[in-house]
Amino acid sequence: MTGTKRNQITTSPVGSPTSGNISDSYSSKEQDRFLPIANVSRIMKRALPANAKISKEAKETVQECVSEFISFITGEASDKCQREKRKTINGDDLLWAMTTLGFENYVGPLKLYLNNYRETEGEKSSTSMAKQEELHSPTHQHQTNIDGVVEINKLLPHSVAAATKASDFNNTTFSAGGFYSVGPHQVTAPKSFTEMGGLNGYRESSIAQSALSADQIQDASGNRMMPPNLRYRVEW
Amino acid sequence: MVMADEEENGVSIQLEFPKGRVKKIMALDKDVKRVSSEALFLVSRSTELFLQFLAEKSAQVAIEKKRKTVNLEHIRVAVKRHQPTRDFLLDELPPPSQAAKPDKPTQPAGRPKLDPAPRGTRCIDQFFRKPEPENTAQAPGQPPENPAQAQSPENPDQDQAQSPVPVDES
Repeated sequence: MTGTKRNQITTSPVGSPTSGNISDSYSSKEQDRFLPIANVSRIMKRALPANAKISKEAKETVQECVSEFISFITGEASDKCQREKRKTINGDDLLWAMTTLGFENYVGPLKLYLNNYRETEGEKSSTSMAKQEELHSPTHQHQTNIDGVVEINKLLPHSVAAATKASDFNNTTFSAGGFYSVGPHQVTAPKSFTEMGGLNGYRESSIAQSALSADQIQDASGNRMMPPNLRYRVEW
Repeated sequence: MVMADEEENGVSIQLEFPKGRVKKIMALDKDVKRVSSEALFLVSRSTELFLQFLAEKSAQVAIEKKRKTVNLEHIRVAVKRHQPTRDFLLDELPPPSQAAKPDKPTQPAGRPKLDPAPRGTRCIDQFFRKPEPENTAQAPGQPPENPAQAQSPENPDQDQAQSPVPVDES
């Protein structure tokens, strides 16, 4: 994952030719279009009786089916966000999409998982703080991305009136977010735009050019924001 | 990658699919711009539930036919038996190996006959994989048409939203 990001960063400032962008995007899409077949196979075997076997064609077909499921659910949630003029898909959008598309049976278990996830996320932040002290650059970049997303994410559940423990943690995060009201947003937006810039570059060269220039500016702003975040979290 | 996996294992042991891969699959739809970490987690978890459901139903079909190996036909029958899954998956599955009786859901599966057919089917799939992003973009587009029809004011919005897609692709 970090390697992939580095490749993208390397490609953007150089302003590589259109053919290079197209080939990179094409190969990347081809590899990432499906979930890893090893993971798919493991979960299938767990759900089957002990003596059951799965043919190779069946594994590959199911691999395609689950990717189609992700696109199906995501498309419905994305349409809901567009109708409500929001740019970020959140958990409630996905729960709504599953209910609308006939997978309401999943909503109950998913809410339980979501509560566990929010509790784990609280622990994860403290863990990431400890790890950031090590100052490993790839790990640092990865954690920064997660923290940026998490910070913005925690504001939404707070407004929705999350659970007590989650509320306490969200209050803390909210005050932190208030202190850096501009910082986290700037940190998060460039990265998501960079990813979309890659996709745009694959489709149109003119959009790619504007995306590249925007990426350069935003990369600079992103770099500028990193030290304050580090210092703040160390103190915190 | 290794360090990322270790982090994922340490933080949430139960998560099965790599987050980056799930995120890229979600991003194939160009309308998807940002996804919160909770949404990404929910999609990963729901995909696991869907996969378990599909595997269990396919296993039931295989048992009914007294088979120990789950194959393509069992998956197709399992998909047909669940209406929501059938709606979005039946068109995506490879065509039946026996063209003589495509309508009947329960077809006797002779192993020697199926051996060459699935390979041929796979070749056809490989040919169609190149324009696959277009198909993927169209598949999610179909469900929104239903709510659009229910509410007349949204029809022009849907039409306007859909019209730029072919222009961008061309």
